[in-house]
Amino acid sequence: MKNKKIIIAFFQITILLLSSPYFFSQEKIESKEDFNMCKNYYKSGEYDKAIKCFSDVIWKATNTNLITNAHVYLGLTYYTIGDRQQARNHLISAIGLKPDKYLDQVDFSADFINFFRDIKPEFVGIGYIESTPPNAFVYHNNKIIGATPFKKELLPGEFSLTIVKWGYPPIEANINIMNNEITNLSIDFSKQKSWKTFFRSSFVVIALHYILKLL
Amino acid sequence: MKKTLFILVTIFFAISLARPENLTLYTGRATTQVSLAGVSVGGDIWHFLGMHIDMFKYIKPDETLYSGVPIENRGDFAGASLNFVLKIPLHLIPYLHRLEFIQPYFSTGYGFGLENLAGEYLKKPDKDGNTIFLSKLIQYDSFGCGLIVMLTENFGIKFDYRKLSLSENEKMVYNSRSFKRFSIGICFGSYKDKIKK
Repeated sequence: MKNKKIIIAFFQITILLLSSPYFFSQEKIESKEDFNMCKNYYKSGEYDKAIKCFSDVIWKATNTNLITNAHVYLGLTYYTIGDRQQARNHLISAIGLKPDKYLDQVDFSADFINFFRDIKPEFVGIGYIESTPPNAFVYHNNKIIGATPFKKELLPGEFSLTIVKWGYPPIEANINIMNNEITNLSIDFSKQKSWKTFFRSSFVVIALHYILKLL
Repeated sequence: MKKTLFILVTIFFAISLARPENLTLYTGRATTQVSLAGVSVGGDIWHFLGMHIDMFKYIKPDETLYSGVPIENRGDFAGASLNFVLKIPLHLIPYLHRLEFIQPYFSTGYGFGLENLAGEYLKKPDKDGNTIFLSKLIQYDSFGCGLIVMLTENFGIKFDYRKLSLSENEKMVYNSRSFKRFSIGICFGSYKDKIKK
């Protein structure tokens, strides 16, 4: 009797978990399918339908990549019908969501890519972080965003970073990104404390320990 | 003379190099079944190497050495020692860089103590009949380890365990003895290693 209850409870929990958005997101799949459908509208020249469709995806989707791509394609659609202002607005929105967004020549025409490239520097700056020795992790908001030497397009503003090189103490650094500019940040770990200095100190302590005993 | 000179030179050297002052107020218990309280002051003198002057005193007398006769009473103990502290940089281990607030360490020290601070005791003659105060001093070595958990950048809790080996005092004909002590205290002063650029 007790086992039966446990089995029923187990099935109920399993069904509950499977129906939860964490395990199976119907909404995400629908948005992606919608996105592909929107692209088909664009490819077949049904620009009004494509505009409405991409706008719906932006409204419905929760995935940042999908929203960014929808903005880019909406920009492309407006660009194709000659509405440069609307195209620009949507590309700016895409850059705001993903400053390091780049357009692939396979999917977009050279004209549109150039249009995008002209807009981007107005809203994005480049942060270049290098370290001695290299291969230090760059953390922003407790998440690794890359390893040195590190180059990333970022929205203008001040970013607090933690640069972590194993064997050295972490270094906290601020980088001030300005649009259309490359901001460099060089970190020198070699002058900081490290395992090497720890072993030197260990040697000193051991020596002192015995000297004090000998005195 | 050599010892005193060496300790003085080291203290001056340490004071000139010491960076943030670290202060610990602690209380603890020794294996001699006594409670003790103390203070430790010091700072870093090199990478991961600190130097602390530790002073402590029994709060209650050690029953085994206690005597109702003030001149014979050795149940108290007050000592001061110079300690070299080697901090173990856990946060340099891969994936543990966030653990810089946990600071394990080893310490080794050298100090002197008195078993009774009463005036009568300090005038007690040694085996040669001299009543000088210095003959009552007992040299001791301390060796131990501990853990500091920083709760904020400048405030933390310190757990300390050390063994104190008291040397034989030939002049007073006191045997060597040792005891272990565990203490818990609050410490002030930045132990943080994170560098701002």
